[in-house]
Amino acid sequence: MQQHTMDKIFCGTMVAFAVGCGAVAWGYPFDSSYFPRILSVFIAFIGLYFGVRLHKGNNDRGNNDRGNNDKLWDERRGQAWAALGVFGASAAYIFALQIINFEFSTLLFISLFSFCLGCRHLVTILVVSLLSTALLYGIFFEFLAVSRPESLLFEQVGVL
Amino acid sequence: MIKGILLGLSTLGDPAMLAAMTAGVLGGVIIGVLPGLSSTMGVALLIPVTFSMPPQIGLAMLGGIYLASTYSGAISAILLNIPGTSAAVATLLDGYPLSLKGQATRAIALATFASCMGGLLSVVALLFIAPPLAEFSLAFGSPEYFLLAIFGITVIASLSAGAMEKGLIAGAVGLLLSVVGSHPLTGDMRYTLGLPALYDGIPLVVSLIGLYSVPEVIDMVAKRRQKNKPTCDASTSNPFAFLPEMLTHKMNLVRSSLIGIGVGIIPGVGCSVGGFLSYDAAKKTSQTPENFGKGSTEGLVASETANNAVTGGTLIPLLTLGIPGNPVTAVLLGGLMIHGLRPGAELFTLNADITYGFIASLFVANLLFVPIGLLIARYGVRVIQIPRAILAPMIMTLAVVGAYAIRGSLDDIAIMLFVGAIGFLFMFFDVPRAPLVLGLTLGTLAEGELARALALVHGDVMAFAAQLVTRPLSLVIVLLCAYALYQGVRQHRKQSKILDG
Repeated sequence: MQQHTMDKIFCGTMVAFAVGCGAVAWGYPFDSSYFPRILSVFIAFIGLYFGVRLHKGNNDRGNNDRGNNDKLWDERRGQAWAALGVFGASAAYIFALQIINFEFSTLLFISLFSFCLGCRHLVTILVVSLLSTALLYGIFFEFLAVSRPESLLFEQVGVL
Repeated sequence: MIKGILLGLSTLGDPAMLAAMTAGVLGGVIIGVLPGLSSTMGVALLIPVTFSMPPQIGLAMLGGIYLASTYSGAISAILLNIPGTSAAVATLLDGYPLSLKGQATRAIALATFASCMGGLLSVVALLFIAPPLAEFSLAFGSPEYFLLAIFGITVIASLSAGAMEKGLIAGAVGLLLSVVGSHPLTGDMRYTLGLPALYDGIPLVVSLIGLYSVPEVIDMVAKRRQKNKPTCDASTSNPFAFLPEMLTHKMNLVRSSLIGIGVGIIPGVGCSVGGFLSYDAAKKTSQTPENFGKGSTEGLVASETANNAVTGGTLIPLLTLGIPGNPVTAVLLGGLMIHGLRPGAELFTLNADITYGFIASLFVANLLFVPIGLLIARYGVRVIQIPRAILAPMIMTLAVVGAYAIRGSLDDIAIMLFVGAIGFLFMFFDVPRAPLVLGLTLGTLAEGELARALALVHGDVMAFAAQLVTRPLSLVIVLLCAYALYQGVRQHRKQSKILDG
C-alpha cells in the first residue's frame, strides 16, 4: 500500500467525520454551534481539496517503488495489530480495576502484558510489576491521597 | 521586576522545591535518554503527579522534566546514533562520529555544557522579555486573542512535516474536539452524547496523556523486537576536564543561543529546527567547515546550545500570551491551567511569586542536569537498553492511573483511550499530532474569545470582520497568519520539487 493510498483513505475519513460532525452541529441552536459548523465545513473543504490534489498527483506518479510500499504496509500492519493488543489489554485492565482491586489488577496487567510482549524472565517480570504497583500506589494513593477506584471484590484488601 | 526576581529566588530555599527540581531533572534525563519516549509524553504523564502539589513546586518539577529531557536526547544520539528526542537530531551529525573516534566522553561533556549554557541564556532572555511582553498583552482584546489562537495553530500546521493540508486538518480536528461540552456563553451542550463526564468538555490533561502515551506505547509494541545497542560507552575519562575546551567556543555559544531563543519565540518551529539553523550558521562561520559531519565539536556545540536555548524561548509566548510554541509547552499550559493559573499580565503581577519561582527553578534545573546527565551518561548506559516489553506496560499503567487521578473518575480513562485512539490514527496515517494538540489546547480560548467578540458587536458578523482589519493589532496578526500560510505553501512546494527531482 502506498502513502498516497493511505492519504486518500485519510481524506475520505476526514470528509465523513466532518459531514457527521456538521450534521450534528446543524441540529444545535446557531448561537452555540457556529464554531463547530465553520470547523466542519473547513475540514470537509480541505479534505476534498487534498483528495483531489492527491488524485491528480497520483496519475503523474508511477508505482515503481514496490520495496518501500511493502515496507510501509508491513509497518502499518504491525502497528494495527499492536493497537488492537494495547486497546484490548487496556480495556481488560479497566474491567479488572472494577472487579478486583487496583493492586491485583495492576500487578496482573504489567506481568501479563510484559509476558505477552516477549519478556520471558519471570523474576524480572515479578520484580518490575511489584515495584511499579508499589510505586504507583505510594505516589497516587498515599502521597497524593487520590481515592482508589471502587471495585466489586477485595475492596478492603490492600496488597501493600 | 527586581522584587519579583527576589521573590522567585526566595522560593528556591524551600527543600521541597529543590527535591521537586531534582526529581524532575532526573526523570527528564531518563525520559530523554530512552529513544521512543518524548519530552511531551514525560510532561503529560507527570502532570497528575504534580496536581496536588503547591503550584510553584509542581511547575518546577514539570520545567525540570522539559529542560532535562530536551538535553538528554543528545546522550542516545551520541552513543546510539538514535536521537532520544527530536531536539537532538542535529546532534547526531557530529556527536556520533565523535563517539566512533573513541571520544564519547568528550562529546557528551561538550553537549552537556553547551546545553547548560544555551538553557541558562534562554532563561535570562525569558526573565527580561516576558514581563514587558505580558504588560503589552493588556492591549489585546477578544478579537486579538481569537486571532492569536488561530495564528498559533496556523503556524504549526503549515510548518509541520508532510502535506500542509494534513496539518490544517489536524489543527481543525483539535479545535473541534475542544468544542465538546458546554458553550462558553450560552451554556448549551454540544457532542456530549448525554455523558455527564463530557459536560465540562474533554479534560485537557487527560486527552494530552492519551495523545502522547497511547500512540507511543503502540509504536513500542510494534517495534518490540528492535534493540538499542550502544557502540561505545562514556565511562572512560573525567567529563569536567573538557570544561576549558567549552570556553573556547564563546562566539558559537552566544550565536547559537540567540538563534535558539529567536526560534523558540516563534510558535511551531521547535527545538530541532533551532538545532539545524545554528548548526548551519556555525558551519558557515567556521574556519574548518570540512570537519562538519565528521565529528566537529563546533557543530555539536552549536546544535546542543540552540536546542536547549529554544526551551526558554518557547516559554515567552506561553507565559505572556498563552500561546504554546510546541506540543511540550501545550502540555505545560495544561499544567498551568490545572493549578488555576492564566497566562498574561496577571501571571507576572498577582502570581509573581509562582511565576518568578518557576523561572528561578528553570535556571537551577539547567545547572542540575549537568551532574545528573553526566552521571547517567557515565554509569547508566544500560538504561537505554531497557526492553520495550517491560517499558510499554509500565507507561500504559502510568497513563491509566494518571488519567484516573485527575478527577478520580474511571470515565476519564475511557476518554484518555478514545483520544489516544485518535492520536494512533494520526500516527497511522502519518499526520502530524502537534497541530491537533495545539487545536485542543487553544480551542477553548479561540471559541470563548470569538463568542465574546461577536457578543460585543451584537452578533453582527460583518462588524466583527471589519474589526479584524481596522484594529491595528488584529490586522498585524491577520497578516502574520497569511504569511505563515504563504511560507507553508512555499515550503511544501519546495519539498515536492526536491522529491520529484
